[in-house]
Amino acid sequence: MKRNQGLIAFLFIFPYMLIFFMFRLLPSIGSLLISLTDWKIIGAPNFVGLKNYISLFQDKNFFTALANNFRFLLIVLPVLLFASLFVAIALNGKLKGRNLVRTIAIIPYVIIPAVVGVMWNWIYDANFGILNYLLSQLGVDKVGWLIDKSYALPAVAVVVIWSYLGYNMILYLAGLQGINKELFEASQIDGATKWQQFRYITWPLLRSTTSLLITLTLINVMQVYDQVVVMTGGGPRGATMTLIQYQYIAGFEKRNMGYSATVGVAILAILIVLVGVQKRLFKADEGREG
Amino acid sequence: MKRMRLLTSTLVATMLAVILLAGSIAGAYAEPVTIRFWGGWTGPDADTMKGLTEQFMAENPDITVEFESQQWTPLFTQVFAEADSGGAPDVLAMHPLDMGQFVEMGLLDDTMAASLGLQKEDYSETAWNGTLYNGVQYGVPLDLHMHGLYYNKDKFEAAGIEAPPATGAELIETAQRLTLDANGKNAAEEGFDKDNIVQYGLGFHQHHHIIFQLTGLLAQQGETAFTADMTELAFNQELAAKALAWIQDFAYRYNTTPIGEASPPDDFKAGNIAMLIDGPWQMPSFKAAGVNFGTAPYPQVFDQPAAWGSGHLFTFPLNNSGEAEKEAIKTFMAWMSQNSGKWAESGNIPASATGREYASTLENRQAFIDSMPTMRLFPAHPKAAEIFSNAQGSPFINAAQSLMLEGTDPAQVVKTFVEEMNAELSAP
Repeated sequence: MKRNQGLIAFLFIFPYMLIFFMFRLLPSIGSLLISLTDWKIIGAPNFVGLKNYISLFQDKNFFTALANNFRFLLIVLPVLLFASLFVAIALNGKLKGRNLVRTIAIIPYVIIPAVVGVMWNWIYDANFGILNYLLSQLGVDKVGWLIDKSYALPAVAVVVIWSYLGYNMILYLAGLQGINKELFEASQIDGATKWQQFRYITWPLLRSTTSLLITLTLINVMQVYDQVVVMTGGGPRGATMTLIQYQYIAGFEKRNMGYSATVGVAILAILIVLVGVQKRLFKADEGREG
Repeated sequence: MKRMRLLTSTLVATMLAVILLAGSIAGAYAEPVTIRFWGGWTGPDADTMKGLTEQFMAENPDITVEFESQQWTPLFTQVFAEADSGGAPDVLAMHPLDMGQFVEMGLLDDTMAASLGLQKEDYSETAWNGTLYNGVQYGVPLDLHMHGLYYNKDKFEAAGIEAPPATGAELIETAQRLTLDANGKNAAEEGFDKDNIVQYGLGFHQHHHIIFQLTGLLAQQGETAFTADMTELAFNQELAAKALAWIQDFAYRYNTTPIGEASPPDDFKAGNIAMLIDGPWQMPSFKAAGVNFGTAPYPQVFDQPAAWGSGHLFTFPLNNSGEAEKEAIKTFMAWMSQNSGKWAESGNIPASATGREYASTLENRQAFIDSMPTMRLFPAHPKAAEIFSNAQGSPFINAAQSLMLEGTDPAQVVKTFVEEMNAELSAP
């Protein structure tokens, strides 16, 4: 019986593992090998050892893109987590039209990022956009949302938050619905306030959901591409250029696939470190509270 | 009886032979030759080209043309990726400036174009020269396209302007008259509120097209911006700064152009701008949007008329295709040369004389046709992909954003642009 269960489990995960192996793991290993060459798409690649990695550490454009990704992360991660938790808690209560609001909240996530970008371009347009029009009615001067270095990255970050808010909210909502209601009833009898219920029941029991969402946000933000390309093209003057866009430019514009693969490997390494640190912090925190 | 059997056998054998022969003849037509044609058109022009290939196939049922179109950058990457295994397309469209790198990589057939027996006098000289690299013809000219001036006829009429501007000074004056604030005052009037503009006089792309304009404006001053064999930029930097200052002033001095304008063609369609500098490929889109527009050549700002331009040509990558495909390519190219007039419907101006003749019967094409003799193409430099790149961080984009978004002094923009371009040119 146990052996059968194992076989059934294997059959269930086999299609995914096959796809994962062919389209994820194999290309990743391929990238690692390509990063050690000077491959220019055409012709045979030559082995260059760690030359591309040395160039990477001397490449100021790479560090500009890396810094931009971290700026995105600093804005998106906290805002997205707290906003999605706040909306999830609000929609978890007995609210009229709750299902409709939940459906509406998920819509931004399912819209194609390029369409999202075009739509927000109309909103942000410095000269003819609706946002500046509304601000002008309040007596605020024109803001170059996507053309001013100071505003462009936060403006795109808002769009990224808007896109992922509904999805994160759904995951938090699932987490909230998994919490035993009796815990709240018991704490109410003990005289706990709403804040105390949140602090000592809701937040600790959402730990695994929060951990998952942080991991997903780290991955998504380190791979931000579509919205940036459509909204700013990485500008102005590189202010919103991200690592993935830089990788694309190296590979497809400059046709330096070896170097592009090196950027890809660097992104993977950074993500592994970030997710590793995040998992470790959560584990340590869990040990302290336990 | 014996004779009867012999007769029957002969009849059966004859019938079998006839059937076999008929089968082999039918087989020759049942499997038509297929050629693959790749292009980088992604707008309505892709539909126009698809329509042309479909018409060709209808008239030549024994040849199938598999037409694929995607953006130029991924298209060329795919060609490079396929080239090693001999899987490059039979016909590849590109711009004249792209040709150098393909030739240097040994990817293009240098005999096909010559074998077609095309006559130079049947084509525009600029387009014909755009198919040559080191004196060898690698392609068949398809079209030319260049900067010109679009103007909204309704807005001209409302402002009492009768003719489109032809010179730099006229363009400034016209743009000022067409830039209106919320109180209805124009940019040349006393009391004009530059913080409350409801309609701008002039729009233009503020990305790599700034360098396209610079190329035209340098040519107007007798300078050549880029050459096919350049190892460093050699143009007069003072004249370049003068040209860039003229462009920048529209936004920063006259307030007639929106700073950091995101999509000038959309603004033109929406009526937010009254004039636009752009290429002829925009015409179908403006027509579809119902804009009442006219066109004029790019204004003469300096000593002589000139404008940036480019074109499309058909090239023939080396691949595994056999003689039957090569013959089919010849038939396809001969047909295209005869029927390229319809390509004018995409807005691009056909390179052939017959094509141009058809184009001249279409509305608004004449201004662009008139610009053909004075237009300036980018050269087919072997490092075209790097030096003419419009990616973020490229010299073209850095210069454009520095000039138009940051309002940097034009002389400084030129100095940095030259330094960055020279760095790209000297890179291994």
